[in-house]
Amino acid sequence: MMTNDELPRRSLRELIQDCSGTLQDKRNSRRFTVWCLAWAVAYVGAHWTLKADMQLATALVWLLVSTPILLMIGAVFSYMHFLRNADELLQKIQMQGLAMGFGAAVVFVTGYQLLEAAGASEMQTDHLIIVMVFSWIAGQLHGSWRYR
Amino acid sequence: MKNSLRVLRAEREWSQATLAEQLQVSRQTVNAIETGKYDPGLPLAFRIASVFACRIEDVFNPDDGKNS
Repeated sequence: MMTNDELPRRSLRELIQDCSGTLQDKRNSRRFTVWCLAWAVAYVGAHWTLKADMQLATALVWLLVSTPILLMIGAVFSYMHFLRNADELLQKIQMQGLAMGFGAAVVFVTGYQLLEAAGASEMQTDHLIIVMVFSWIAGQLHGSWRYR
Repeated sequence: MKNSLRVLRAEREWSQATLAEQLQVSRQTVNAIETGKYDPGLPLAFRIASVFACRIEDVFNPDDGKNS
């Protein structure tokens, strides 16, 4: 049987698949991705509809607002399930990613507050979310590379 | 922490993927342990010892105090 040292050079796709944990981890990760996609679709749809200034019934407004919130809560629980059951190295990589995302958010908020004091335009929440998500992804990639 | 995982695995002619499957972890985890980039937690260390039918200290031994 081939040992790993004898295996041919791995493609990038194989390397990424290798870094995504066991079969169960991949399944749980896919589930989390589906929750996130559902949230993104609901969020964009709700945002556009509410901004379109249509005369909507109060119940419909509540539905538009609550659907993305509930989907995001579902995504958070799905991620917690994924993390609890993940391969222990994958848990470590994910925790490093989360730490990087949180750290970047603190740096961004405190740094931007100083910029605001210096006269910059007001910070938008969207920018903070983008910084957090990209730092979280960068942290995961860094961890995967480190333990490849 | 030093370990003899690679030697034990080679003796049995197992691939990293085979060992990973038996340990219910990813191949990346096995590779990271073998290369000394990652020290496993106690439950996984016990599983590794169990798979090779030996004691934990036969697989892992502390070196100069470096940790992953």
